[in-house]
Amino acid sequence: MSENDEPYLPENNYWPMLIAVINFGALLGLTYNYMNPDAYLWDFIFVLVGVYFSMKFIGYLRQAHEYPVTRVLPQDRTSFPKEGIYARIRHPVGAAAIYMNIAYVCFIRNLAIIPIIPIFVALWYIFAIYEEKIMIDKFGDEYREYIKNTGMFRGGGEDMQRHTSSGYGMY
Amino acid sequence: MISFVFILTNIPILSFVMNQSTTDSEMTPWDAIYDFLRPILDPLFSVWENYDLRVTLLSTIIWSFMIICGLVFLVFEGPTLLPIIFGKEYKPPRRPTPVQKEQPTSTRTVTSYGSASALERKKEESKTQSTDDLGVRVISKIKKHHDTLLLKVNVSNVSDSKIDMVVVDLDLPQGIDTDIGFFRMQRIGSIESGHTESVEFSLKSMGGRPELIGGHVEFLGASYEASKVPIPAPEMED
Repeated sequence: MSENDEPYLPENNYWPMLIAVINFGALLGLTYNYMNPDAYLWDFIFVLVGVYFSMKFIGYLRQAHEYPVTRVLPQDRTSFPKEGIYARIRHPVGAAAIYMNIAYVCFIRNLAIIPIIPIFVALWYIFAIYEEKIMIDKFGDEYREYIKNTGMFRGGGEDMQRHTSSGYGMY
Repeated sequence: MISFVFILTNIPILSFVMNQSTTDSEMTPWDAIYDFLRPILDPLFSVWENYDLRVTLLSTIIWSFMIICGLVFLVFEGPTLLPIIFGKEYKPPRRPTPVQKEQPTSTRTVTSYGSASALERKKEESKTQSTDDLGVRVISKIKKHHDTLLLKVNVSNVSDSKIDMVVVDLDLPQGIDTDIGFFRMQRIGSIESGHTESVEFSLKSMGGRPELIGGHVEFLGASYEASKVPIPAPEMED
């Protein structure tokens, strides 16, 4: 099929959903069985920290999905956004999921959960590396330059945004 | 021991705490504040002292946030599963994308010029960009006067919305440079829908091929996404 014959119809990126089902499905089971039932002052503090990370999760997801390309498979992308949250971090969905894992640690408040979380974080990291490899193959130096100016999961401040704002800020 | 207690009760604050009969007659500002806050604080203290209630409260907060976050994730990422559930392709909303589209442009006249590989590459580049899709049409014309080339780049906004921060950036081949006092980049600013703006560049030719002059027009569209449209090979004017 020629690309000119059919309208552009990118395939959806179902990987984040799949990883999230594995990640949070397992964590929900652990929450049900291992959640600390205490309710003292420190428990309240931990839960508040968990609430903070949950809010970050929601915020990152919302900002990432301001760009419909977030939902497109990397192989099918014709461009990649460099504004908004993408001016700071390259994988906001992965970052959001990692924050939610931290939130789960704070909610469950059980040491048994600590060794399990890095496994899920590694899963998101591998997914991010896989996406970046495809994007580098597709966009080459443009994406390498973008990588230099942004963080994978945690971004910098205003300076980085200026450098990635399509070069206009230079003039 | 008795003397120690006697000394302690003589300290004003401790006597306030330990000997209630003394403080009843001496009303301090703190007592007034405490009396004022008592109706607000007492229910809070009683809630805090009720362990079962605390457990319920904490559990409610935790499960609420877990459910809310799960639903938020479903709302944002769930549409990726729609094709699997409904067995048809879900089309995400379109947004103008800046690079590499597959439509030829109508404003291209490069056939009469050379066949160097750079020119071929430039033709290919021109073909891969749909200016109409982005809502911007670029035409470049060149006028030769001895060794000076006057390049005029017209940028037409054929979209329905205004475009901002329009910049024309030239990519000059070997043997052509900008004239004294001119830069290879010029800023246009904003262009209203249906309007055309143009910029002129004065170039100095030192044996270079004018048909290889390229570059791009960069702008912010209605979606505030930076887009680039390549400048087509310039048409020669007499």
